[in-house]
Amino acid sequence: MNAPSYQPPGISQACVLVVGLGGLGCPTAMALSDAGVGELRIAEDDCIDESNLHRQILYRPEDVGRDKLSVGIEALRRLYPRSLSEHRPIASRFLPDNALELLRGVDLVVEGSDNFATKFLVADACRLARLPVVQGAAVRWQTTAYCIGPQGRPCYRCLFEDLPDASAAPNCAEAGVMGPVVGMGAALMVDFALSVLAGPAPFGNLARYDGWRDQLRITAIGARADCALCGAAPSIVELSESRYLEPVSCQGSNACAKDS
Amino acid sequence: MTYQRFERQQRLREVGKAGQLRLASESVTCQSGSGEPYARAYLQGAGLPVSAGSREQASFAHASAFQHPAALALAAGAHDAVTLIVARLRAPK
Repeated sequence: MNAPSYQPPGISQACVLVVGLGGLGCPTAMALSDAGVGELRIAEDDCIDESNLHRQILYRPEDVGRDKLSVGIEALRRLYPRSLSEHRPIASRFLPDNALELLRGVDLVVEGSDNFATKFLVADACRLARLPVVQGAAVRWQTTAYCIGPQGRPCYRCLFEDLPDASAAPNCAEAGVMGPVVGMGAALMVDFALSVLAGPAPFGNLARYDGWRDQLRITAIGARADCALCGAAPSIVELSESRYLEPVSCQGSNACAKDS
Repeated sequence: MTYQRFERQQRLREVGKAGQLRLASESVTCQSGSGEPYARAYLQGAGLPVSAGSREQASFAHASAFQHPAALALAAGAHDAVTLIVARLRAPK
């Protein structure tokens, strides 16, 4: 599972791309700053909504309406004045046409975005660029984090084959989410991320936490032989825009806070 | 405090309007230690009044799952908040 050629870059030398500064992204960026990750590039283009505040802990009530990226980076610098991390804002979404450019110079991607289209796109782009990636999601009292190696097998698509139907996917706007449960998800992501940077890397691991039952399980992801991304005959070999269309009910920025 | 602010958690079956009122009913103290700022942020976010002092640090059941101090601090703080919220929601009325 752990590619023999993988050389951990070291925490203080590493460049990490954080995709999304929402419920998972805020505490993730906080703990990675606390740990002194060399460079944190943060990609986000959304504004702060009042319904974000209970879980997106970099933002305060007076920040509602402002953009997450500048408020968030200001807060990170204020909260961790001694952090050695350099924070670099990227005022954009992670999209098929800028994905590979955003991955340039990056050692690891940490994704806690709020929609399935971005999750699949990040998974596919990291596999094609041979970069390790840590991804997370949270809804109701449950949260999940997984760590995929640079060889990209097993991968995100071994777990979830493709974008779900609008009717099948619960999102937090509809289903709700408990704030500190998202924080536990972020802690699991951060631990995976720091292990990838410092070694030994936990590639292929999946962590699940249920806050209502207080159960934490860490297991290995099973690779699927016919996986479209990392199987024997993969069909996903480039980032075609049509593959990443979000189900209609989930479109819109803050109307859809599915996994953050 | 408006409804919007707690809307995402009030939607949970275990919370609802009654649960939200119970969460706000009485203040809590956070566990001391490196996770305290996170616990404070999440408890305030959930609408629990947080007192200034802190409780003595208890053992954290999931500590062995975390290798890195920065991740452990976040986990311990978030877990303290989850535990206090669940206890209040599960308490007999």
